[in-house]
Amino acid sequence: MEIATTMPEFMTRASGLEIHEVPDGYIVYHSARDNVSYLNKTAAIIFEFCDGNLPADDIVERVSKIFDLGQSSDQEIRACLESLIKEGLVQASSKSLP
Amino acid sequence: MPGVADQGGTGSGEFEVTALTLTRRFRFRTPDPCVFDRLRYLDCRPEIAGLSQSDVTVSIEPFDGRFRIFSGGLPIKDVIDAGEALDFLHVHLFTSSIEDRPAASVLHAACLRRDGRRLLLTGSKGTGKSTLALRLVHAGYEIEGDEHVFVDGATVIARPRACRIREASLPHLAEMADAISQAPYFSSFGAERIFNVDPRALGAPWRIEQGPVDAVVALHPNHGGYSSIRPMRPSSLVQFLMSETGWRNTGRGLSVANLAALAGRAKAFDLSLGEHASAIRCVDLAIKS
Repeated sequence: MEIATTMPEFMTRASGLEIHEVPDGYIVYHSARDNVSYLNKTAAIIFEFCDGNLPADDIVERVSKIFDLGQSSDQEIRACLESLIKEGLVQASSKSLP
Repeated sequence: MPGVADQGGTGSGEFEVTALTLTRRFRFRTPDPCVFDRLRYLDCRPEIAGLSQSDVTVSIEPFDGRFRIFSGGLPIKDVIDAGEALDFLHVHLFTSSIEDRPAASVLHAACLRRDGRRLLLTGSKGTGKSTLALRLVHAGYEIEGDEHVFVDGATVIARPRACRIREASLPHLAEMADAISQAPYFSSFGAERIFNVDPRALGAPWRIEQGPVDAVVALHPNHGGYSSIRPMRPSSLVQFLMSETGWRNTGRGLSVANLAALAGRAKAFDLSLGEHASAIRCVDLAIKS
């Protein structure tokens, strides 16, 4: 149990998503949930990083670096990731994608 | 005269009202003048570019003290009076017109053009969309439709239907009130009249054509106040359009794609709709942007 909680969780986009780019972000239709999500540009970039190869900590670090943000923004980026998970757009997995 | 159809053109003593959808030309025929008078409310004969319509003859015949409605020679409904005939055929026509574009999203919006650029006005019922649309017609815009557009990727086409104007809106359309009040109307149980107005009765052309949208204006009522306009983010526009789109049983994902494609191409604006003179200036700015 201890091991499981300390293992990195790789962020993966959920299946069954229809992603539409608009000038200020993404419109994502989740067919299984019959739900539409609106991602602004920052959320869209975070969403793009969720390709199954990066753990949450790495995504936070990379997004922070891209936008030249300090550590104080880490919490906001992490909150965005959590909201993507809550919306069902992203899943955490203990294994990275091959 | 728009709204009045042929009377006994074949010598049969029948009246006829014509209503076009994108793919069909409904010919409503009846020997009964009361039924004819009611059915004039369905009159709809725009010029539709690039599409041809197949004829569908629907006859409304007196039958055993009531009326029997036939389509293609087959009975489809018995009704008790002219009012019920209108109710039934109104729904029949609407359903048929929606079936014309099964893969498209049906957006609640007026569709207008000026100088080759297309504009959609969208907003909830009671926002003042149809009244503003006619004010824009009076200001030189061409109208394609005032109620629904089919959104098919980045292009749209108006669902054929004449402009429907409530009697209570006439004070806001003073210059056109005489022409509007001569149009066929619907009135239920003594309620206010709703007029079925062919744009040509107002001196404007009525041509429907599929094409891209240059600007979408989302209306928010500010009745009695000033009008003001501001740019809107594309994703906010999609969110707004979602609430004004009739969902079909299948293909909601496709509808989202259609709206996203529309929002990705057209400029989006939020119009707080108060008095009309400044609202028209606001729309002028939107369509020229």
